[in-house]
Amino acid sequence: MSHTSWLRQAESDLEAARTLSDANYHSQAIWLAGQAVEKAHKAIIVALGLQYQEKHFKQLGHATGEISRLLPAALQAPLDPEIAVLVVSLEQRAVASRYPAPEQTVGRRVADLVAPAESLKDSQQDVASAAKLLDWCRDRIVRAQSAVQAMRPPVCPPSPHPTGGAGRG
Amino acid sequence: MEISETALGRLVPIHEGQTFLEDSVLKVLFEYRMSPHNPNNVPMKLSDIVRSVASEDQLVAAALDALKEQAPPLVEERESFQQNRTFRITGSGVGFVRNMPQGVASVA
Repeated sequence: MSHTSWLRQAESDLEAARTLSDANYHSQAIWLAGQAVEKAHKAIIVALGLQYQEKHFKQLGHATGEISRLLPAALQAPLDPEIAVLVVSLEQRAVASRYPAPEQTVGRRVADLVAPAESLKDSQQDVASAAKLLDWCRDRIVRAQSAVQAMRPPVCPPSPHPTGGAGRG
Repeated sequence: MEISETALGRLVPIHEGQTFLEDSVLKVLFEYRMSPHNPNNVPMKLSDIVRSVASEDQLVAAALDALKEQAPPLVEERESFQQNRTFRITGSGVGFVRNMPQGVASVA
């Protein structure tokens, strides 16, 4: 799959996340926002000329943070701890958004303590974070393409001594 | 006894609600520490941690204080930033997360 396919799917997920957020389906919106960012990171991997196949990355799981650590340092620059916060926060919330919490704990519901699906009451900031991270990824895709282009061997000029048909006429 | 999985993949009884929150906080701080965007080990603001685990200020602060008081401490508090408490995972905390068996899959 090309990087444009990954990026298109990421953009589609983000659009769906916006729609769900507007319709107050917050946990689903957060999940799709996280999916958008994960797929955009995979687009960078593919733009670097690497074949991204799930079976190659089973040991990594699907964590965006882990995928982002595969990127070369030059492509991460300029380093920005705020980007790290957005990735970490969105990832954690996206994982938590999938399932309801266990019903009851002593004195307090687990749902009141950690982030299960039903405790996520807003998603606008998650969608905004995902949009910002997609912009970050788009920039890295352009830079990855330039780097790959620069590494390609130069095209050889045609040979000055044609072999076919020589000596006739 | 009902068992559930924490953010670090530990299977614990659901009445240990504090453990669920502490594992979520540790996971967030570990991922932040490991991010290529945080090579200088910048601490994380309490408000960012609270948002990441979708909990409440007081509950997360209590979980962080508990993690600070472990021997050795798994989390350390740094200087406040813009009136916001800041925290980061310690070397022991990193080791704790890395050595954690990751869920049922780790048994197979």
